Amino acid sequence: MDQMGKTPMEWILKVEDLKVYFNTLGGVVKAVDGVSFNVKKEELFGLVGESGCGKSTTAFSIMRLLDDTSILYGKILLGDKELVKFSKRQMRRLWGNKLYMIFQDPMTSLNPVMRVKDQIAEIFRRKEGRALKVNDIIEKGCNLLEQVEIPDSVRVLNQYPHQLSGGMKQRVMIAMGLATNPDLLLLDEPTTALDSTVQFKIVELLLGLKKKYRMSQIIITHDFGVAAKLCDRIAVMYAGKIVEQGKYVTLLHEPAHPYTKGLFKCIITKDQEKDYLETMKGYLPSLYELPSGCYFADRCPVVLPICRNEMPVLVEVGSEHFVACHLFRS
Amino acid sequence: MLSPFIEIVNLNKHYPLSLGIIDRFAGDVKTIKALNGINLNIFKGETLGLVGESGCGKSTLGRIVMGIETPTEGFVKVEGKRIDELKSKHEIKAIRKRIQMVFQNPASTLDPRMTLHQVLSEPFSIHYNLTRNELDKRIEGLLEKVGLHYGDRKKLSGEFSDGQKQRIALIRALSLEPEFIVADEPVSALDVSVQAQILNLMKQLQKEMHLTMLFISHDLKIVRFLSDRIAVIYLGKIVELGSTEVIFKNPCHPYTQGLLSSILDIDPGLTNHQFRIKADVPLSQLNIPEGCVFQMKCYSTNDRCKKESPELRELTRGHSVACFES
Repeated sequence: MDQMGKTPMEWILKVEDLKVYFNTLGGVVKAVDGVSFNVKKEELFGLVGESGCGKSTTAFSIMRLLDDTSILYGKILLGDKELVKFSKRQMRRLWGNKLYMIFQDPMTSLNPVMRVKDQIAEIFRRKEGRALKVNDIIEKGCNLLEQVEIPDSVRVLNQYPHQLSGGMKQRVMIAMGLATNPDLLLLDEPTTALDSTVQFKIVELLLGLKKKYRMSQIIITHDFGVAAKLCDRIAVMYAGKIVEQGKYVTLLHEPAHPYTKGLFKCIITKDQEKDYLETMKGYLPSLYELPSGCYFADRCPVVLPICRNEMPVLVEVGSEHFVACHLFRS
Repeated sequence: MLSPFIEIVNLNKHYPLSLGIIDRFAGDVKTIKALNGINLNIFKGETLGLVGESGCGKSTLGRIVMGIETPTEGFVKVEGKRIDELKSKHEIKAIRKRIQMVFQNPASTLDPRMTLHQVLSEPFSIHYNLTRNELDKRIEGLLEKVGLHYGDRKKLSGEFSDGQKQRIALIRALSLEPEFIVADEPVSALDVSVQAQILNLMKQLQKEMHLTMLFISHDLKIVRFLSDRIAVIYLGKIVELGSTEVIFKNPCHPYTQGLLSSILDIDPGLTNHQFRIKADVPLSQLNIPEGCVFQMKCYSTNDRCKKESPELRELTRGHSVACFES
């Protein structure tokens, strides 16, 4: 049980049995189906998986950014706040304050007709409830941009987003995230749209800021290289479910779920000299026609008869290490 | 000495940027210099990997080799014949059969309303005159090659998953048994588990069909898997060219070194910590600096780099670098 009041909570976000269903013409799509995890204070938690596994949908539902075609079940607790029950108006008070999200594409997440300084000023205005003086904005803005290693910060403050490179824009987004000083920072594929040299720099920056600001963060990525650098713990998702969860190094060295094992194997590494890559057979299942039983059964190399009939549940197999697979039934 | 299959000679591609009407009258028309003085040979049977970041001109080069775009200066030769000098329709059609292309996004290169059978029979109906039986037989053979079911041929191409679509795009390109294909980021849009499948398939087909290939990608790891030689391109110039082994073991251009050190390893202990590129300097083909193209991001520039542009020169046999320092 939680010990609210007695000792400070050790987690900042708790997601319990979250389900996100979409009503579509082709039927109900269970984009996220019974996901539970928590994010500890000062921890960087990774949601990892291939496209369509529900990792972004999970983040969007924590932010409550999904529209009315979706149905949310379960609990999302941010401290003592139950976000699933929050109205749009209540959520608006949290956005850019307790919750902040950085999106994949920095080109579209900054307002193209506002100067950088005005966008930063907006954050302070929302946070403090009053407009800042121009001098204060420049001073605070410069400070922030220096935190994210933008040189020549005064000039950048007066520029429009289209005058900045992709990496710079993502840095501005991160700087605005720092200004809000949120309880929880969500990063949705923050480096995917960037070139590899820029990606490297942004990852380094995030790593530095993690040590300095001790913010709790959720990072969504399909790139295990990024997860390796940044994440303390990760959850691997497959077709809307978490199949394995644990410390990154545990999953890297002792993956338990056949899907995690397969994923790590088919990643091309820097020192790849082999003539043949390990592969997983088959494709990701369509969310419209999910098989009964374990969703991974069709692709699994060690499938059991029970896998075809019964959906495995997450069981603990080590310290903070959970797996949803019939091979690990207690 | 082997003669190259594809010969790219002194290729320039400049796109005029249309500005306002006043600029045009003043004669102040800027150009985007996508490619500057590219010389490159691709030999029969080899795979040449072309690596670079977005906007460096690598796709433009691929498209020019295919004849989709025409170069501003320079030319491309296929087996000694300049493709821009081909006049008769017959000759152009014959060359099209021999060189084919695979694109990045399989979803947008297949007509979603055509069935798999229609997609695959189109190349045959253009270039051959086959009977129905012969066509069916060919298609069956092709599908088998990439692990798709013959029974799926009636499905619309929009019904397939991304990985399957890329397989279809791949066999469509290979259906006429071309000698040369340009593959422009063929796996970038795919998930990791599917990426590995497609790469294995490409490697297998490459061996079976003795393909010559220009493989374009931004990802050095992927290029390494398929390529015999690698050309690293930066702002429209080739900065380093060498065998895959040399590029990985002994990279000489600071940009290549930077690209290699930016690869994030899945083992957190293994990522290189010596990263030597000034990232985030906004670069643009509109105002390429005088002298070396890489000077803005380089940590070891000297006065010479600002004035002169280094040419590719051979360090060891088959390994060329465009840098004064190496």
